[in-house]
Amino acid sequence: MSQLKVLRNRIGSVRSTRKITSAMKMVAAARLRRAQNAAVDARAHVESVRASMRSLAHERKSLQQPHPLIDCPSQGAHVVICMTSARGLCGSFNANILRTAKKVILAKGEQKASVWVLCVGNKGYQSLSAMARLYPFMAVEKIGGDKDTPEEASQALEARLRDIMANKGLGSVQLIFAEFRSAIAQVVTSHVLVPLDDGAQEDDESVTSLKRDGVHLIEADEDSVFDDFAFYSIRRRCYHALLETLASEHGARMTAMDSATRNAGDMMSKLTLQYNRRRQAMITRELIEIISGAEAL
Amino acid sequence: MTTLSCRLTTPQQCVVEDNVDSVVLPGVDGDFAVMAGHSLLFTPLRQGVIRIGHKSYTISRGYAHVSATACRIMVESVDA
Repeated sequence: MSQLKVLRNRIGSVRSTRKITSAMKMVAAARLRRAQNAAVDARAHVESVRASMRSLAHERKSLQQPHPLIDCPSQGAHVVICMTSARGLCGSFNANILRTAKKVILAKGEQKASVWVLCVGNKGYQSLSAMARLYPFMAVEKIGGDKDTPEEASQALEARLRDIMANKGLGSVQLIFAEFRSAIAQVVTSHVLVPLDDGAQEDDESVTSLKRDGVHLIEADEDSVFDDFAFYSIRRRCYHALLETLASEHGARMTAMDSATRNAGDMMSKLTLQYNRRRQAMITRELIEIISGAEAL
Repeated sequence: MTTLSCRLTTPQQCVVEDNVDSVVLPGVDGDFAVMAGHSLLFTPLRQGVIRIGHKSYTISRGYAHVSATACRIMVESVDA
């Protein structure tokens, strides 16, 4: 009898776990739709900003006008911005991002650079600050709280980068985040934010038009416009990466909770089968006992 | 007449993507119009009214990048 009761309790607990995971799946699905729209709608702006920045930076470089964000001092701080989720229960989502982040950090560390890691999202901070104890070349800090909106977090990131640039100079800035493809596919992506002209290829539309049409006319004070736009582009790219990461997180959580729900269902049917077998065996045994008792009389 | 492919975006969304004859922009030193074939230009924009074709939009500050065939306008917010 006690064995049956144990089984019954287990079935009950698996059932309530399934209820929780399926509720979490539904919450993630609802949030995913909103986050997905936000991320996809925001792509046009960041593409424009990126293309403009690239052609301006490329032009500056080819005119040999030095700028600290294009000809970066190699002894300056090498910054890695790592975007993860604040909470777990989303499968291997954070682990995938962190694997790429760690690879990038170690590669930079091998070049004897001091690496500053700026984490958005608690999960990345926890894991990378544990890693920092093993590697003295890296410093890890967390940017913003877990309740910050992408706008607030990207502002905080920009402020911190301006700070580092004023104190030490920026050697490079690399951004690691999860790009949203679909609810079941998130791609860990790494973008170079500084040097600003990174990715400007010779056959690029923005670069070829430069050759054809000559140099930009920049209204107002050229240097201050360039500086402002440089940090604006960094902030907007961080903002967009945060939106992508958020959508990816909800996608990953939805998938993880979906398979958890399915697993719980499988487990329940197995346990129920076991329970019924045991119960049937017990009934049979009791019947045999009664019959053989009756025969003995 | 060739047209200018114009794209007006805010950080949240793409507001307009259209081929138009001319665009009027509120530059920091005053309003100006661009048409197809304009030389390369990059300028900050002040708060004001943008006219794309026949439609007007009120924008907060932003940037505009003009080339011979395209005009990218990146602003913080738009009121149609």
